[in-house]
Amino acid sequence: METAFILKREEIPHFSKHIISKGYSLFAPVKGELKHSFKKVNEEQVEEISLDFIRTTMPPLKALLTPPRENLFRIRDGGIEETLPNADGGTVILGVHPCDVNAMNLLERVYTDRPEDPYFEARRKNLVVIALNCKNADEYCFCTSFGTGPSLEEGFDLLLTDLGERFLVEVGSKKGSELVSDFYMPRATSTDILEKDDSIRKVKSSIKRHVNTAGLQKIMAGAIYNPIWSELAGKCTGCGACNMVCPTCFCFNVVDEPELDSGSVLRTRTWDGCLLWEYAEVALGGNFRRDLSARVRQFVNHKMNYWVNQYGSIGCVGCGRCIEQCPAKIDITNVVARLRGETL
Amino acid sequence: MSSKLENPYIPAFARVMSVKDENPTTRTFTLSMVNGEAMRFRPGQFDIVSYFGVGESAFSICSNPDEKNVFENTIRRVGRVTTALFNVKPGDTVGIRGPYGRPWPLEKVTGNDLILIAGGMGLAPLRPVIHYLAKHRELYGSVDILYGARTPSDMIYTYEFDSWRKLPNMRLFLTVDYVPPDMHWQHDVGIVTELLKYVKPRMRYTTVFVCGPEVMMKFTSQLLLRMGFYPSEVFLSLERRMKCGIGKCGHCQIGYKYVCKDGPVFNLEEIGLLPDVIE
Repeated sequence: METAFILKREEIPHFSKHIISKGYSLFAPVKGELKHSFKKVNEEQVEEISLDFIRTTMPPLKALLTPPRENLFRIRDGGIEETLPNADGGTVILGVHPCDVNAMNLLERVYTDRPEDPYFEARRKNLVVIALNCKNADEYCFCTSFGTGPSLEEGFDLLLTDLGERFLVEVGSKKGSELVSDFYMPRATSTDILEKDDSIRKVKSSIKRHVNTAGLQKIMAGAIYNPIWSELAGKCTGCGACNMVCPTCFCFNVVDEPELDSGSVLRTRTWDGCLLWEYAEVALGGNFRRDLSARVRQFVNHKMNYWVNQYGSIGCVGCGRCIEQCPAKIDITNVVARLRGETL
Repeated sequence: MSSKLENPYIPAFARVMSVKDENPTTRTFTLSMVNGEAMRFRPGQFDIVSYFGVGESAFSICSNPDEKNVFENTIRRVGRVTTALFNVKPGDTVGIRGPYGRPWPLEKVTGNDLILIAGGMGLAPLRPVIHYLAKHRELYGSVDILYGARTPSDMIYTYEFDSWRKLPNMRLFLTVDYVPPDMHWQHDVGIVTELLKYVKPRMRYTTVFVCGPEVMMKFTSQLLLRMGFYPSEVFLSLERRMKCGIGKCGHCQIGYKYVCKDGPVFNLEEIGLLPDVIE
C-alpha cells in the first residue's frame, strides 16, 4: 500500500467540512426515518453524515452520474443550446460501498463505448469517489459472487475502512491525495492494516447468498424457453422497481418538454426500465415484449448473460437491491440457481 | 481529455425541400442539411428525425445514396411524432441525427443474384438498394423485387415502378391482400411470399433482403429456409423502439445485439438463436 492514514470517527464532520471548503459539492449518506440515503450536505449538515449503513435504496453513483431526469439540450429561437452539466467546483461523494463503485465502473463501459456520452463524461470527470469498505452485510448481499465487494482494491480516490472508533483511509489517486494533503491525519500502522484485513474477512464470511457464475452464459442461453419465465411472470407486477434501484440499469427514455414560459423546448432523458410495458412498444400497437415473461427474461438475461458479450463482464454487482425492493419477492439469485438446477 | 466531446444527441437542422404524397397516410420528404453538408449514407442505414417539441423517431433513409445534396425519408402517420412530421411543409426545418446502423451488405454479395422482398412500408430501406443496383447493374446477377401491400393504394414509390422494370435483368412482382371492388388490379392477390413462385433461385448464389412487418418477416424467413436458402444469405432489416440510435438508451436490444448499431440489418444466422425476435 502506498499511503494510508487514520481518521477518527468523530473527525468525519470536520473532514467533510474540509472537503466543502475546497469548493466541492459533497454528497454523503444521512440517516433517514427508515433507511440511509445519499444527499448533498452543506457545512451545517455535516453532523448528519452517518456511515453505518448496509445499502441505500437508490444507487448513489447512478443517481449522481445519470440523474433520473437530465436535460440534453434546449431549443430556443431556432437554435440549440447544449445543457451539459456544470463543471464548476467538482463533486465529492463520500461513503459509497464497493458494489456501487464497481457498478459505476460498469456504467462507464456503457457510456464511454463510442460514441461517448458527454453528459456522463462531464459528471464522471468531475467526481471524486471516497469509497467505504463494508463492515456489515445482510441477507440480500451477494457481491462475493462477482468479486465486486465487500472490499475494494482499485477504482477509488480514497477508500475508508471502518475500524470502530477510527477509519483507515487509503489513497487511490492524485485527486484523493489532494483531498488529504492539507488535512492532518496520522499515518496508519501495520496493525491497522491487519485489523482491516480481519474486518473484511469477517464480513466476507457472513455473506451467504451466492450466484454460481461458472458456465452461466451457456446455461442462460439454453434457458430461453424455460417455463420459469412464465412462472415468474405470474408473480411479477411489472412495476420496474428492480430497474430503478439497479445500479447498472442504464436504459433511458427521451422526452421533449415544451417550456411554457419562454417558448422554448427542453429535450430531456429519464430513467426507463425493461420491465415496463411500454419499453419495447413500437408504432401501431406493436410490442416486442408484450408478454411479462419476456420482460422478466430480458432483465435476468441482460444482467447475467448479454452484458458479457456487450461489455465484457456480468452486469450484476450483487448489491441486493432488486431482491430487497421486489414487491413480489422475486430473487435473481434464486432464479439463477433454479436455472442451474441447484435448487427448486 | 481536454477537447470537448462531440455531442451525439444534438441534431443538425435539415430543411424540407419538397413533400410527396405516397398514399393518404404516407408522405416522402426530401430534405437538405441547412449547413450544406451532404448526408453520406449507405443503403439500409437510418436517420433519426426530430420534430422539436414533440420528439424524434428513426426512419430508413430511402433515397438514392449517390445523391448527396438531398436525401429522403418516407413517413407514415401512425403516432405522435410521425403525425407531427407528416404535416411539415416545404421550407420548414426538422432535426436530423445519423446516418446510423449497419447497411445491407451490398459490397459483399457482388456477383450474386438478389431477391428483395418487401411488405408495405418495408420497401423504404430497399429503395436505396434498387437505386444502387441501377447504377452498378453489371456487378450483380438477376434482381427480383417482390413487393406486397394490403391494398394497391397502400403501395409506396409506385411512380418509380416503371423505371425499375426497365432495368436490365431486373423484375418487379406485386401483390396485395385485397383489391377494393372499384379498383383495377392486374397483378397478384395474396401474401408476398407467394410471389416466390416466380423466382428460380440458384441457392448458393442468391442473397435475399427482406423488410416488412415483423410477422411478414417471420413467415418469409421460415419459408426461405424451407426452400433451401442459406441462413447466412437471408438478411432482414429489423424495427425496434429506439431512443438514441447510438447504443445507449437500451430499448432496441435483442439478446446481446443492439438493433441500432449492430443492425438494423442482420442475417438469419446472427439472429436465429436470439429471443424476442422472429421465433
